[in-house]
Amino acid sequence: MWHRHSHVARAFLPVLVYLAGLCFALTLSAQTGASGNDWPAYGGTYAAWRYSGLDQVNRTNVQKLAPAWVFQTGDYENGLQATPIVSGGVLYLSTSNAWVFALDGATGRLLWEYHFPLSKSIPLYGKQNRGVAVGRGLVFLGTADDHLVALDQRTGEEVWRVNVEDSRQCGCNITGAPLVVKDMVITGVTGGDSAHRGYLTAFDAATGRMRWRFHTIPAPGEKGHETWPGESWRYGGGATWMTGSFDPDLNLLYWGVGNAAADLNASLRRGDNLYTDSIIALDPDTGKLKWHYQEIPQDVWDYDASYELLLVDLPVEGRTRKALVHVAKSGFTWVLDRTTGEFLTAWPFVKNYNWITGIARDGKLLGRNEPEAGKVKLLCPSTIGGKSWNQASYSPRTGWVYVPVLEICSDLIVRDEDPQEGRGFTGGNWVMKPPPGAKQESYLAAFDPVSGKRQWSVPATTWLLASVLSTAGDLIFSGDPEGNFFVLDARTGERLWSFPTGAGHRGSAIAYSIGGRQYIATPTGWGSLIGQAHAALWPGPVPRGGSALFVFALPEGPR
Amino acid sequence: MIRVARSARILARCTTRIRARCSTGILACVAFACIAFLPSAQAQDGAAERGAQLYRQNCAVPYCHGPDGTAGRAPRLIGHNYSLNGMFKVISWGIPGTGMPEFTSRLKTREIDDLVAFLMTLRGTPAAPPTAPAVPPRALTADAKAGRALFFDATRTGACGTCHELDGWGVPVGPDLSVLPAERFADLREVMARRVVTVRPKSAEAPFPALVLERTEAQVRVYDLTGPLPVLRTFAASQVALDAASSWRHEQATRIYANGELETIARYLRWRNGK
Ligand code: HEC
Repeated sequence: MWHRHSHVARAFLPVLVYLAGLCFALTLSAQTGASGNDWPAYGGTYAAWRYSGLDQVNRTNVQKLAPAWVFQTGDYENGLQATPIVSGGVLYLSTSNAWVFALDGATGRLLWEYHFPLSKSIPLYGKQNRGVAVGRGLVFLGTADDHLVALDQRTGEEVWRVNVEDSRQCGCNITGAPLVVKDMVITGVTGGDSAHRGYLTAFDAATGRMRWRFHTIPAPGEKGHETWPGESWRYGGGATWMTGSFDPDLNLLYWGVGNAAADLNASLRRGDNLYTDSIIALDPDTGKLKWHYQEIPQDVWDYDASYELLLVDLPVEGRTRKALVHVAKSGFTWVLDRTTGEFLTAWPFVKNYNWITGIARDGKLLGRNEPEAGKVKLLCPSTIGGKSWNQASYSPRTGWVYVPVLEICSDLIVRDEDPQEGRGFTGGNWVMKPPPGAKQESYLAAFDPVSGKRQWSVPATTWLLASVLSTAGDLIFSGDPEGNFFVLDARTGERLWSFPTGAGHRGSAIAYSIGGRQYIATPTGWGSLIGQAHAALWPGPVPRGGSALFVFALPEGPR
Repeated sequence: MIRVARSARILARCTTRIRARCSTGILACVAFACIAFLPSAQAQDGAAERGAQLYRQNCAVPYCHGPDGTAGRAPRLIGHNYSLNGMFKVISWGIPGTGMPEFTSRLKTREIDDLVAFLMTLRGTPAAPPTAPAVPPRALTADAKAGRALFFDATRTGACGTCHELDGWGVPVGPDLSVLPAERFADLREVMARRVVTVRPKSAEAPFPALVLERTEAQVRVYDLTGPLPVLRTFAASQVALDAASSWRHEQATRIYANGELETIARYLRWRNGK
């Protein structure tokens, strides 16, 4: 009987996979931004809200939340930064050393695992992996030695791999999660603090063949090249190290472009340095630029515009706009019209900023305060950012964005440096410092995305380097370096529940549902370049490393 | 200082012991193993261990001397030649005009002591750099340099380095060019592709040119040469048929170069391989 059963199951598997793929497509095309039973994409959906429409776990019962299962990856190098993907009830998780696990989302049972044979020479961006992408029956993984790999979603067997560029030459690698768009998989690369010219590449999902490559720095003869004097365009940075968003209705792919290189020293690149520190909107079918908005021309503070791009429809001056919200490293949030790239508004989410005095109504930066050669200048926010890459969340129920804020500054020291292909090219150095005359602190805060009005804020003991998840249960989830996975009331910020997981949090929690039961999963395990700076900045014990996925649910039975 | 010297000695012993074990000479392994071995080696004095911790907090970020002293943009510290006093001075006062900051305002003297104690454990014979040198041992002539730059030209997707590894850069898809007689580079437009085959998938996918990497009863692994970036694809042996004939020409892969550029590359390769 069992035999026949599994036989039938096997016969229907292709159909099931097809249906799952169809569901996947549907979940993503409805531009609500909320995820459903699955967590199909890096930011939850293409809109990158990190908001789950599930509400079984809510303010009234969250105190009963308990571990359902825990998975130890065994890869304890550099912590666990990934956002797990859930597709058809299967959870896909990746680790620093480019291992991938497929787990039964309800039980944690291992279905398959894959270990990429990572080479020994890893660029200075280090080994870290922020997650896989899943689509078209495949699981896609970027690696710390700059490969993009496709695995069979059912078996974990490798289908193809491509070396995006030799990481020894480019000094670049892939730490971000890829993005599946239509029949393509798209990946960026690091390299913005090296003598490297950034780009975004689209590959045919089925075969791995390159479809298009968009260079974030225009070549001679291309529009925008005039913003780069001499040979500076060859080494000007413009990395694409985080994951973009996609609007299927507008058929636009959005990606954030990183800082210009050398980071702190523009002496070799006087000009606007397009398209560094810009949001770019591309036609995903061709890779052609549709519009761009440069937040910071000629960046000298290492303020990548790389972070998540939340696609939200917002009321701006009495009109609903298809907006794009970018909570940026520079301590400001930019709000753009995502159809045209038009500047709508920008507001500071940090209290301590002195790199500019403000932003004009037309988006122009006011009162630039640049680092200077021969001087040590304390500039805010720090080169880690007013927020690090760990992601903010948007809840349509409150209409607010939830941001893990860092109030830290850095002493910037400028130095002249000659670019050497693929080598570090920062044009100076930075030392983290508390803000002048203020407390060094970090907190999770809720903001109105248009006015920037702060609704509430909850201080952290040290700092917050994990992403935020919001749910339809009006809950906000995140984790801290001390190891607590905690829940706040989305409306008040009141702390409702917390659980000590035993290791620092750097990953991104998700929510999903299987068989009518809602699960909340969070990666744990401290690590990374920035993570190592912890003890230099904060008193108390150093956050614990590790690499485990904790999954919580309400107790089974009557809820 | 006596305290520091003693713990440095203990650590040096530890290093020697572990170096013997890690015969591969991977110094990162030595450094880490030493940290791990420390508690037993110096129960009376945790200077170097505290120093290792301080190192990770202050020197390994961001991108400076690397998590284990191997890299970043600042110099390697593994195998350095600083004296105890020299190291103390540099850490205390920094190196003006460079990215090396002073630490007197950030660390207590005692902490700098600990840091020095740790760093002295990394002192010693310079280790081989972690990656192969990117430049051939012989100094490049201007012409060879131009050829090499074209070979690895990052501004065009599909440069020679996309498919050939040479002196520590590039992707080893096609044959190793470093071992070929210089005559082989007479004219790069006439490179023969004798090994490229045609893969005929049994699915709806069209046949494509490829280089076979592995062929067993169970599976076939090939480099798909259709696009500018070769793709290593894995098929179940039953999914594909291989056809020895192929219409792929090496010329297709090198079309992104003008003839004059190909000649410059050829001169570089001839120079590189000793002629
Ligand atoms: C798309 C990948 C690709 C690119 C780009 C490429 N090659 Fe090749 N090359 C190959 C392959 C595959 C072979 C082996 C062909 C065969 O044996 O069938 C080869 C063979 C050769 C050979 C012949 C080796 C021998 O054994 O005689 C030379 C020489 C060569 N390539 C030089 C170059 C140079 C120089 C460039 C840049 C101008 C270049 N290749 C670009 C893939 C590539």
